Amino acid sequence: MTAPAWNLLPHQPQAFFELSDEFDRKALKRAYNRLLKKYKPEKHPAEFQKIRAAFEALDDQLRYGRKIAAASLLQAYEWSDGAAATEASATTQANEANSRGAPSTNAAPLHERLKSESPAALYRELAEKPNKSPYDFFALALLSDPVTKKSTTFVRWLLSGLKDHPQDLGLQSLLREYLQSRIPIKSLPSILNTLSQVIGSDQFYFLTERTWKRFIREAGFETFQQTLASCEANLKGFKNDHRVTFYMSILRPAIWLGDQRWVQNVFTYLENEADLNHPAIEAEFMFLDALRRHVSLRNVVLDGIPCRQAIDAEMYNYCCSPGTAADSQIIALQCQLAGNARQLLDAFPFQRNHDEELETSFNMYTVWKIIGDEVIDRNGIEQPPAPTKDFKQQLYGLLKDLEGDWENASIRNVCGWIHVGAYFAVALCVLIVLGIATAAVPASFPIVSGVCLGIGVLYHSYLHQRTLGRLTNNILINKIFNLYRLQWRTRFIQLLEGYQVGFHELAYALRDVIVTKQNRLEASTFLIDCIPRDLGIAFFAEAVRFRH
Amino acid sequence: MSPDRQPKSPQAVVRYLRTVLMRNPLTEAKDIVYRREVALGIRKRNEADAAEAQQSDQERLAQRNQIKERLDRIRDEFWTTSPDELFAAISAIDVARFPELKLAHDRISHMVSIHGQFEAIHGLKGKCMNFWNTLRRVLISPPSQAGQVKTRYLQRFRHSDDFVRAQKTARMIRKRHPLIYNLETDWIDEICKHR
Repeated sequence: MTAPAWNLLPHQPQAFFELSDEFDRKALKRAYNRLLKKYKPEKHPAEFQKIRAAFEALDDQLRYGRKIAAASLLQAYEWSDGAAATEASATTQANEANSRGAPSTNAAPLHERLKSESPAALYRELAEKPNKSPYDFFALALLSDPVTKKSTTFVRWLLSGLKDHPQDLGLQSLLREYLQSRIPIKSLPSILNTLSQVIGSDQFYFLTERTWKRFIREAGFETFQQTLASCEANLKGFKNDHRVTFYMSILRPAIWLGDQRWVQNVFTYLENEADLNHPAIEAEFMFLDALRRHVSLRNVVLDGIPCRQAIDAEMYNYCCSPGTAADSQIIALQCQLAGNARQLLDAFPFQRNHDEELETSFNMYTVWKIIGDEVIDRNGIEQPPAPTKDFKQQLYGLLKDLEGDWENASIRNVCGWIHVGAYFAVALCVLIVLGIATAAVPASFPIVSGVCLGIGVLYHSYLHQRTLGRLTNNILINKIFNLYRLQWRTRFIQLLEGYQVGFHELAYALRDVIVTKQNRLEASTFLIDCIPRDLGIAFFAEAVRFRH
Repeated sequence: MSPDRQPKSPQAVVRYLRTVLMRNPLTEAKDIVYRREVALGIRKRNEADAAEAQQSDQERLAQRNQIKERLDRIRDEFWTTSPDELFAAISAIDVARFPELKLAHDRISHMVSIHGQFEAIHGLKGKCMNFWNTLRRVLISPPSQAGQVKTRYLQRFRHSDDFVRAQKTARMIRKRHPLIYNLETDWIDEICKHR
């Protein structure tokens, strides 16, 4: 693999990842993973950060189906305060070329003119200019801060610029970044409302997504809901897919902080409008659905158990905190859980029956697993390869070992003797009846012996299995489940510690081994039913992925 | 813009404006917004900006790698180095920023603090050397290696010649050295209860 063209970053991420113009999120992820294999974060932290930033920039735009600024476009999109700005504009902005004027028709660039002229003079000159270019609006926004001494003029000039040049990528990018900055929360409704009027299209969602996440957190759900409704009323002719992407993103905090009826309405909207055949949308929808179920039943699931509460608290932080702020707390908790398997096994005891509580707890696991995947991905935490043949051999070895435990279990031998005793008793009864009948009426021997034989066959093939057989089977199965609950779970914990295999991979590998070696296994075949419903094992398998 | 949020001097204003006016918002929007916030006093200069945060992340990852290497070195040399040297080496490592390494650090620190107990057991006669060596390996190895060693040992040990001696040694550790036993409770219990 040749070294990537680092000089293409940060301006040309698409070219950096060597992606064609028609690339999708899958292709981006593939290219990203390819580079990550070479530039592991622990060995190449600087390179990893650059790759990650480029990936996120592209992924963010792809989520909204926005056309990525290709290398050719970026090269053409010159942005300067010199005369070059007049000629240089993106190919997509050719129709705006006439309106793109240099801030000063014949003078030096603005930053040069500032050496001899005051900001106020330049501000007045630009403000009076009839046909302002995107750069003019940009300069006016920046100059307005010290000249007008009003904090709101900056954003007003940007909005005016977008009104005149709605497709200008530079102004859009600056506004999006500005909206994520430390704007006083009380100013946001007015800014967002004005922006919705100025933009009036689905770009509104892309530009403001992160701002809404902050808004819902800090302003409260009611204000958020009212402001969003009034902004959406200003949007005309937006495409549903942008709205779907936006709502999928805002639902993460809204499920925790919002009104359940509002959340339900959004879900109904998503079910109707989202393209759930798209893998990325389907995956996010599945996550949101599990999260919603968990949040609605969390009081039942948490049940005052500290370990569950700690996991739930981190899930809340993760969904409601800005950016990647909660990642390190997730990593810390996962490591703590990996170091204390007993705590997890006690918090999630093995339940033999598949009841409602188990199902709701599985929602919690689904959410936790997806969050774990995202944190691992973002932080470049190295993951072990898929289960190897060696793992399956060790798994088979473990099952044989458990069979050894089972062979030594006294109840198994007792049940075996009960069966032998039952047959012996039946045989004895038959012989006694046969003896008495033959002694009384010797001629009846063939008939009586036939009847006795029939009783014997009937007992063996029908009665024994339905009476004593069923009883002992139940006893034995209970014993196996008890053995699993009390002893065998820790053996699987040790196996997972060693091989760091995912929960589902473990369940699949177990099924494989048991199906292949069925004839040589007895009690351990019941593990096919135990492992997939053991949440203690599931959470532990998740936690060991973070452990060093 | 409130007066207290203005840059301090006209020169500072011009300097700030000259810098940002040369920036391209398409690719440098984060930097422009950051500089504006500093200039307006919304954000203090020493607060982490995006670039600094990225730099800090890079440093963090590099530092994590260094600490991992140092922990691995201590693991490699644990049984051949004096407790004082081990103590000095482990005390010099600060894992406050790395929750993912804290567990390993705490475990090794604990093992250093009970180093004398390991020496005492090592000097005992009649113990099962195979079990003892395996336990020492398990205690000091990274979790993934330790897990594999434990699983393999449990599968072999039932059929080994020193089955009884291994159990005796495990029971002795459980009874007389709870601080060591607490490090591998489940595994030692598993060995003790095998029949």
